[in-house]
Amino acid sequence: MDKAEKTAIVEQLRKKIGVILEPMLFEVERGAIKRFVEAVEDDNPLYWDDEYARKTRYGGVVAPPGFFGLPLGDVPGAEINPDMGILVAPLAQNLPGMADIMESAVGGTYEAEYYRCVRPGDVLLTYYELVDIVEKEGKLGPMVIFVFQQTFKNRINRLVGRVRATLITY
Amino acid sequence: MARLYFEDVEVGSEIPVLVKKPTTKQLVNWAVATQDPARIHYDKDRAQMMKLPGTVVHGLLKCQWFIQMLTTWIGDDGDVKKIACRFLGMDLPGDTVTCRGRVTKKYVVDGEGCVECEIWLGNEREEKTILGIATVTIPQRE
Repeated sequence: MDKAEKTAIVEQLRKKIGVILEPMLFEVERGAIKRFVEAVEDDNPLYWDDEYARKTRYGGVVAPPGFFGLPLGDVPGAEINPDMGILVAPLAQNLPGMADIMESAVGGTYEAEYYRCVRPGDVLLTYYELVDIVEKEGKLGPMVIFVFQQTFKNRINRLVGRVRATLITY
Repeated sequence: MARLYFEDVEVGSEIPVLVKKPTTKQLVNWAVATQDPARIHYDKDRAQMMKLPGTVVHGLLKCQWFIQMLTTWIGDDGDVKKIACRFLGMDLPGDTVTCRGRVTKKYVVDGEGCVECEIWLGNEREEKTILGIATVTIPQRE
């Protein structure tokens, strides 16, 4: 993609800043929590052992902070491009041009706040938003920085967590 | 492990480290568990095409190791409230990476014992590939 094409796409994307996309719904599966902590290689039994977890203040198995029910097999309508991370994929389907730009994106920052614990069986709504696009001169040349936010709420509309991440493209 | 109390935490003290030796298998497990299909984490040809030295460890997996370090330290009675990470470099399968942290501040808000920490991840090449901060709450003695 040449510079003019990229500039044109970025200008299109600017119109999407601040628009909160249709929320996606995830049911937190026990097996998904287990696969997650196994991949991390975190052996805290609080995340899978009922007997152990019952004796804690949670009274049962919970997910570790950082697990928000993602993923689940069928994300309605999501087409995940193998060259993009999961954070971007739900945006890409709604933001034309995003896939092309993101092909060479690298992570800049990741911030997460955890308000409520997540348990198996919880149903979480995920709201995606493109918060900002910042253009900067970097050490490796001009950069376009995308700021995304994901907000997680439970079924009674209480905040469960919030993630803000930046992706840098050159 | 002995239960950690807010009163026992001193500003300047270090959090017990967490050492990880990521393998390609672990990265594939993480890609599956998070449905992150990005090929640079398991496809060497793709990674080299993207001018990387090889497949690289997922940034979010490294963030999750900080969570593991913090929850192991504070125990099941503490809560991680926030983490913020800045990605400064890549780590590769086969590297030995170490999550570290140091207490920078402690205070009580609404009766809760809050502890702020600086956190960082280093590899055996003496590179710091993540710098960040975290906030946790730790129970107080009655």
